[in-house]
Amino acid sequence: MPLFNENSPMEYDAIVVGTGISGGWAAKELAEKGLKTLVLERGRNVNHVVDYKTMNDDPWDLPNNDRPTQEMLKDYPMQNRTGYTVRPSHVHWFVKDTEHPYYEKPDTRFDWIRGYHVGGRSLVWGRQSYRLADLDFEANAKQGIAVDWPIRYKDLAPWYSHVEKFAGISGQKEGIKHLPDGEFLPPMELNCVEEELKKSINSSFPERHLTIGRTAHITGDSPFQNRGTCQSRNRCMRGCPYGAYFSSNASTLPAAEASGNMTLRPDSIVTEVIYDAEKGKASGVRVMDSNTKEVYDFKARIIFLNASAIATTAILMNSKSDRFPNGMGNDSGELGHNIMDHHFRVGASGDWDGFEDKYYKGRRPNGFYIPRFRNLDEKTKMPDFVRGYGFQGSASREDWSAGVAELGIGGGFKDSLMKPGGWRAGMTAFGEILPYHDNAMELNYDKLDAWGQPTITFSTTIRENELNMRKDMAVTAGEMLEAAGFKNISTWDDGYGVGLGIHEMGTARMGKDPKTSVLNKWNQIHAVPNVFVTDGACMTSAACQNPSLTYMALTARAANYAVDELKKMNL
Amino acid sequence: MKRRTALKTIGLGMGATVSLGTFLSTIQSCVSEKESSADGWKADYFTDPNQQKLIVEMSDIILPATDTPGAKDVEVIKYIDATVARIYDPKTVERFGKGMDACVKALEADQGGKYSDLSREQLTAFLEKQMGASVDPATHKTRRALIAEKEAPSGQSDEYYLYSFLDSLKSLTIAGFFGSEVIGEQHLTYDPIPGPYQGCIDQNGMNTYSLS
Ligand SMILES: Cc1cc2nc3c(=O)[nH]c(=O)nc-3n(C[C@H](O)[C@H](O)[C@H](O)COP(=O)(O)OP(=O)(O)OC[C@H]3O[C@@H](n4cnc5c(N)ncnc54)[C@H](O)[C@@H]3O)c2cc1C
Ligand code: SF4
Repeated sequence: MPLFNENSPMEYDAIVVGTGISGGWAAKELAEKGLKTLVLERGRNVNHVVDYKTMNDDPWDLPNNDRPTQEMLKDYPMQNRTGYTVRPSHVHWFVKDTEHPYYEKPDTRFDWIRGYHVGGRSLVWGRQSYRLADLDFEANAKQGIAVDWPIRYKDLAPWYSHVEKFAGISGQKEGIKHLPDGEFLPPMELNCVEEELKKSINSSFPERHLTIGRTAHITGDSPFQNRGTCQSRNRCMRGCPYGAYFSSNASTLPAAEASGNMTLRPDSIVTEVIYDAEKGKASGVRVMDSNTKEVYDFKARIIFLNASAIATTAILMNSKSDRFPNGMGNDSGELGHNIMDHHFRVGASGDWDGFEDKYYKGRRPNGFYIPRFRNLDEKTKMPDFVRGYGFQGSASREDWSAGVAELGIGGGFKDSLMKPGGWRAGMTAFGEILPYHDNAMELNYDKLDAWGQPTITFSTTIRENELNMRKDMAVTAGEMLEAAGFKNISTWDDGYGVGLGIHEMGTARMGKDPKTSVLNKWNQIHAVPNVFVTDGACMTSAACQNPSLTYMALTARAANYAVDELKKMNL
Repeated sequence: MKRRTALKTIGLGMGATVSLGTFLSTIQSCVSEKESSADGWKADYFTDPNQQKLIVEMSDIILPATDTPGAKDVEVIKYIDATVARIYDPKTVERFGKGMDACVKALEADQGGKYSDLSREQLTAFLEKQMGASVDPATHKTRRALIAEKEAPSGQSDEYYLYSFLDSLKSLTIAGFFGSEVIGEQHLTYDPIPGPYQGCIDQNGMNTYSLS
C-alpha cells in the first residue's frame, strides 16, 4: 500500500476516515474517479495475506488449542461478551478493552465489538449480504415511527448491483419482493438435511422460504479479479490466503491503490473535523498519531467519515465550534441517538433421523437463510409487534463432542466416536430493532483515554416491540423444525444486549428534514455539505437484514455523487 | 450442553466453533510414573504425582488404545492440565478440585484401599459403575440434571461434585484426544483444503472430519 511519508502532501481532494467495509469502498470510488485521496486509519497497517499469521494453523498448532486463557480474558471483558472473539487465532483483530474503554449507564448494556487496524471489521465479518427493500425503506413513514428514509429501493438498486459485482456475492435468486435478488456468483450448496427442511417449509408455510445464505465469497469457475475461489476452510476470521471473501484488504483497498491516487496513513486517530465558518464547510480533519501523539491537520475538499457508526458519531460530537456547539451537524439534536442493532440469540434446534449414510465435504462458511415472513402485508400482520426477523442456520452431523453426555467408556466407545454422529439443525433469528431516541451515546470528557480523547458512555435497551418479537421467533423456529419432522426440538432465548449483533447503527440518521435528521439523501451533513457519513451511523431504520452490503451501496452512491458535485463546483 | 451443541450447529462460519485438542509433537508412551515427562513437561495443576497418575489412568480407561492410539498415547494429560490451570475460570477450578476430592473419596469407599494403590482393573470397575454403558439411563438423566445446577443442592454435595468431576474429566479427555494432532491428522478425516462445499456425499464409512 502507498503509505504516507514525510514527503506526502498535507492537502488532498478527499479524505476518508476508516478502512473498514465502508471506508474501503469510499477510498476505491473516490480514488478511481481521480481524486487524490488520503485514507486515515487509527489502527496499525495490515498487509493482505502477509499479516494473516494464523491463517493456516490447525487447532493443535495454536496456543491452548485456540482457547482463551483466564489471563488473556482480562484484557477483553467487553469483546468477550460475544463468546467467540477472544481466541488466539483471531483475537488480534479485536481491541483490548483495557486500552479502549467505554462505559454503560446503570442497568443498560451496550456491546461495542470492534477492531482497530487497516481493514477494520471487514477482516472478521460474517459476510452475510442482503439487500434492503421498500418494505424496509417505507416502514417508518407508513407506521409514523421516527422519520422517513429520504431514499427508496430504486435509488439504491443500481448501487447494490455495482458493489455486488465488485465485491463478489454468492447466492441464489429467489424472486422474493422484500429480499431483492442481486448480482450473484453461483450459490453454495445446501446439505441433505437442509434440503429436506427447505422442502418442508415450502409446502407447510406458503409465505416462508429457505435459501442458501447470500455471502461475500468468490464461488464458481470464472476468474474473479485477482482473487481466488473459496476453499471451504471456514477460517475466514483469520484472513484468507486466497482473498476469497470480501475484505477491504483483499478487494477495495488494492483497487484504490491501483488507481495511483490513494495515500494511506495508518496509526492516525481522527479526533475532529475542522469547520471553516466563513465557507460554511469543513476544511479538513485533525489527526493524532497513535504512536507519537503528535497532532496534524490535513485538508481536503470533501471528507468521508467511515470510522463505523459509533466512532464516526464520536468524531462529529467532538467537532465543536461556535456554529456547532453540540457537535458538527447536530442542529437536530439527533446526533448520537437512535442506536439500533439486530437482536438475536433466539431460535431452535433439533435432531434429524436418517441420512446416516450421507455426509458433506467442506466447512461451508455460510448457512441457510429464511427471509422475513412477518408483517409483510395484512395477512401476515402480527398483533403485538411491528417489523420482522429472518433466520440464519444450518444442519450438520455431530462429532465426538456429543459423546460427553452419552453413557459409555472404553475402546468400543472410543471407536464409535471416530464416526460422524446424527444430523442436527439449528437456526437463530435476527430481528429489527426500532429507532428509539433514548438509545443513545454521549462523550465523557471526565474520563479520557490514553490519547487524551473523550470516552463514550452508552445507554441502550430493547423494549416491548423487540421482546414480543423474541417470543414469536422461538415459536416459529420450533414450528418449522417440527413440521419438517425433526426430533428432540428445543427452543431457546439466550438473552441479548444491544450491540451484540455487531450491527450497531443509526446515530447520525438520514432524513428529509434538517430539524429531525443529521444527513440528507446523499449522506451529506445537512449543514456541512462537504462532509459525508456513509457507515452505519446513517441508517434511518435497521430492517432485519445484515447491513454491511447496504453501507457499501450507500457509500458508492454518495462517493459518485460527491465527485459529480465537485466537478460541477458545487462543493 | 444442549445449548452449546445448538450454538455449535448454527456456527455459521462466524468462527463460533473451534475444536479442541492437545499440542504435542511426539507420541510418548506414558507419563504417569513421573511428575514430568521426558520432554521436560511439568504439570501446572496436577503437581501431586499421585493425582496426576490418577487422571492419566482414568482418562486412558475412558479412551484406551485399541488398533488406534489411546489417551495416554497422545498425552491427553497435558491438555487436561493446561485447561484446568489456565482456561477454567476460578469457580470452575474450585468445582473441579472439590470434584477430585469427592471422586477419590467415592473411589476409596467403592474399591477399598488408598486410591493411589488401586489397580487399573479397580479403577475401571469404578468408572464402569459411574459412567459405563450399563448404567441405568434414568439414573444417568438424573445425574445430568443434577450437575446442570450452578451450585450443589443441599444434602447432595458429594454426588454433585463427583458427577461434575466425572463429566469434566470425560469432556476434557474427549476434547484433548480428538483435538490432538495425531488423531486429527492420522485417524479422523483430515481435510485442510476441501474446495467447494459439497452438500450431500456418500459417507462410505469415513470418519468424522477433524476440523470444524
Ligand atoms: C464477528 C462479526 C461478524 C459480522 N457479520 C456480519 C455479517 O455477516 N454481515 C454484515 O453485513 N455485517 C456483519 N458484521 C458487521 C460488519 O463488520 C460491520 O457492519 C462493518 O464492518 C461496518 O463497516 P464500517 O466501515 O462502518 O466499520 P468498520 O469495518 O468497523 O471499520 C471502521 C474503521 O475505522 C477505524 N477508525 C475508528 N475510529 C477511527 C478514528 N477516530 N480515526 C481513524 N480511524 C478510525 C477503525 O480502526 C476501523 O478500521 C459483523 C461484524 C463482526 C465483528
Ligand atoms: S472459507 Fe473460503 S473465504 Fe474463508 S478463509 Fe477459507 S477459503 Fe477463505
